[in-house]
Amino acid sequence: MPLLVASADHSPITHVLPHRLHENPIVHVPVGDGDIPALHVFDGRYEFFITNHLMMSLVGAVTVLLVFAHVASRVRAKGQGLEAFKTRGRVAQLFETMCSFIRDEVARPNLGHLTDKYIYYIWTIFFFVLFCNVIGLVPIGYILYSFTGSQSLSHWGGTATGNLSLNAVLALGSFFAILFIGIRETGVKAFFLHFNPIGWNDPKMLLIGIPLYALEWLGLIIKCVVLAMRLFGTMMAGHLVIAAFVGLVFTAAEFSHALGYGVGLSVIGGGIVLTLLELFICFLQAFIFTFLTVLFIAMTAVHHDEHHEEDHLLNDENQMDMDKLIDPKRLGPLVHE
Amino acid sequence: MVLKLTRLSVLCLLAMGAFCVSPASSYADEKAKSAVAAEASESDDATVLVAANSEVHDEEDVVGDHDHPAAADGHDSHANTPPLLSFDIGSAVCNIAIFLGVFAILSKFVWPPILSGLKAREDKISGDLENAERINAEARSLLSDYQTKLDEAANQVQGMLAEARRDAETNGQRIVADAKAEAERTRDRAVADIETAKKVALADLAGQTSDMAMQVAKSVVGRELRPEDHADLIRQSLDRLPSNN
Repeated sequence: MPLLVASADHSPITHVLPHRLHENPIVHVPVGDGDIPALHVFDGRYEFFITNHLMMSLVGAVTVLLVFAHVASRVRAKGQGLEAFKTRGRVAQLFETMCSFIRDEVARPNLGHLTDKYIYYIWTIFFFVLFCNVIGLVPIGYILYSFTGSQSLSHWGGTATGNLSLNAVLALGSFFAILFIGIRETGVKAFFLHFNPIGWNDPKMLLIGIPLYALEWLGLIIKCVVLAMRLFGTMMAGHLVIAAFVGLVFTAAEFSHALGYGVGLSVIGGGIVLTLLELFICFLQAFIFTFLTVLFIAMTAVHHDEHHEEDHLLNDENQMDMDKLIDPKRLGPLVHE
Repeated sequence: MVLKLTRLSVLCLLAMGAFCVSPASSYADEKAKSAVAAEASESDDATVLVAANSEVHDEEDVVGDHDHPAAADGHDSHANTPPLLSFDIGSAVCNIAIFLGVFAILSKFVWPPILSGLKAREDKISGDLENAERINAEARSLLSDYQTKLDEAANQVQGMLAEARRDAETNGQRIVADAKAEAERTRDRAVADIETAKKVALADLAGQTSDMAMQVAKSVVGRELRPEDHADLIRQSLDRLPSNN
């Protein structure tokens, strides 16, 4: 059915652009003359409409709330004996496992004793992004169009995180989290001084230190901008590729019906594979966004010289020892001679 | 509480849905309307990547939406499409509100029970492990104590056996010695009794012998002997008797 609807749109771009869900603007603000398309300013006016992407942000948010309200009721320790600590229900177990993974494998190795202090924000970021990503894969608009026949409903749905208006907000949240947690854990003075890697003691070195200080701040801002752009790019590009792929069917059908059906069958198979890839990307990007946010927070809030990682045969550094390929003795005790 | 949260969420969804079920339109519809006025030329779909530029994209959509019947009346006159890289400040403000709302509700009602559940399980597991370690140590200590006691008991048994053996030997020796002494005493008593009996027998014999001798002498001599004569005769007779002792 989505294929039929897709025939209405010759350009894949329309599938990833935001679409208005109502006729008249809720707010319009005059901002001078001219157009600034990137900021939705046309004819000197900014007009605010509720778009499908904004609606999907809310749908994602409500879904997160509903799902985790259920999970919270199941995870809560209640009862007697060992039964009190068992989580019942597959859905609750699934999301509890994800919570544990984010807490134990993402947050704890970087934040250490601060993990439980800031885990609420980290969980919220991860699951909000994840739900927005995954719900974006559901062709809500085309399903509505199939049942109602209304062309105007075909653009409902979409991926909220395929829009910079949400990703910029999430990245801004990460930026403020980095600042807030860094200042809270290290103090204002220490936080703002640590951006100079050379130190402030030698006046001669300030000629290098001050530009580096500015560069470090710029680096932090760029990191957060890249957070938003990466999520936007990956989410938008996935839909764009699938839409372009589906467009091949109608291009082929213009030549002959037989060719159209042949290409259609190939596109269905390829579309399934691409959608599965997108599903993986949805989880991967939610993880990357969360992981990098935690990493940036840890860079400013945690003193890494407090704990040194033990030298272990299977740590990254030792696994990167390529000489093991030509000299198995370097594997140490793992090889029994 | 969870039920209230669920109801609130459903209400939010319904409100959002009700708000949005006005005669909906898309940018594409508007472009379709304005396309007639603008008389834009067709462009090939192959310019997808270039379409990130809004002007090119406008032209594409103009063509692409000829099929839309919903070039509706009363639509806004804007036929402008934002580029791919666009930022809507109004949407951003709404997204801030949505995210902060989700964060606040989750942090207040949802994450605490989940975190406490995970912590409770962790505490239970670590507590059980510590208990197991402690009980294991206690068991080892008890085992060591019992082993010590067993060793002590074995030593005691050995000592008791040795002592019993010594006592038995001592008792045996004492019993043998007592038996020997008793036998000695019995023999002595028997010897003394025999001696006494012998003396008594000899005395009786002497008496009878003297009487017989007296009778014989009386019959031979024909006179009565005085006691002094008896005694002399007896002594003489005894002296003449051969001694076997």
